[in-house]
Amino acid sequence: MTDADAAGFRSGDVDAFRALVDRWSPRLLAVALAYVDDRDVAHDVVQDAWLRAWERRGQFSGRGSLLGWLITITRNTALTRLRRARSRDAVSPGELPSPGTPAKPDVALERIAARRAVLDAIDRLPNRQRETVILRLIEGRSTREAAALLGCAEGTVKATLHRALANLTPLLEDWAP
Amino acid sequence: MSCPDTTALIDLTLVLGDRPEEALRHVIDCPDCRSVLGAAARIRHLHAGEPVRPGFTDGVVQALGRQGTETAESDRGRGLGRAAWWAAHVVLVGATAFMTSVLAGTTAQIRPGPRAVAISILAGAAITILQHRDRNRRSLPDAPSSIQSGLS
Repeated sequence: MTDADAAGFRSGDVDAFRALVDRWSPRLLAVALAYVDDRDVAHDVVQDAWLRAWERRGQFSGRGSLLGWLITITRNTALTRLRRARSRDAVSPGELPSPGTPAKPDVALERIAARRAVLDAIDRLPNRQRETVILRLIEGRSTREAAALLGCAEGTVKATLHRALANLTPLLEDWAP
Repeated sequence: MSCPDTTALIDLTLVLGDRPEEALRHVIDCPDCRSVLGAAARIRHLHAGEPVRPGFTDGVVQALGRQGTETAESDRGRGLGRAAWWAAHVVLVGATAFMTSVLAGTTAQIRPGPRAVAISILAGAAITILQHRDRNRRSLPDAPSSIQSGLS
């Protein structure tokens, strides 16, 4: 993705949108898979998130991380779907496990829960720290690029990233990739 | 050769400065630095991306086209519905205002003329607009804070 694609997306250019979908969907699928364990459902979540992003493209200011904005939309879309699924489960007792069924340790679910905890922790960071983590660690932007996008000095980016990682470290120690 | 990527290590020297051995020794000996670097690596790993199914991008762009058509159709329908709603509301409120003025005129023994009809219709339109503005102000949805965090 180039910054021109981001600008094109904001102005409603479908080719720029296609380039973004191509580029960022794998990242967004990883986010969706932190909330749902079914790959087909996760693909649906990402597709819905892209359509919502397109509808709301005028709301993205152009400053900060476009990927960060897309991650937030994907996460919210996944959470909405999860809530709907839970409320459906609540009214269909036939699908609930019978009492006395021993709980089976499910590695996949544990992994989803751990991934979700990390994403939730990033989402709870103060806005500037969250943006910095996304730009530097997830988008892989240089300190200079991140500073230009955030409108601050490079030293501020370094200090903010350090503070963000200090906040996240205790949460990430239990999570092994 | 089992050495890590040399290019990446050369890049690292730009960060570690002119005494890379010293800086690396510090990282190895300092638990705080180690855990912060570990956290950064885990965040990167978490967001490394998952392969999407073939044709996913085309599917999204096609869905966008379908959504665009549906939105245009529903906007057209909504536009016609809104015009009908406004007309009905103005007539209803205007008629109410007219009946009120007739009743008031009967009490005061005054016959309502064309001016009373015009004033009633204008009053109806004004009341409708004021009601609509007030309802809009009360029903503005709050965007979720997490969405707002991505906007500035």
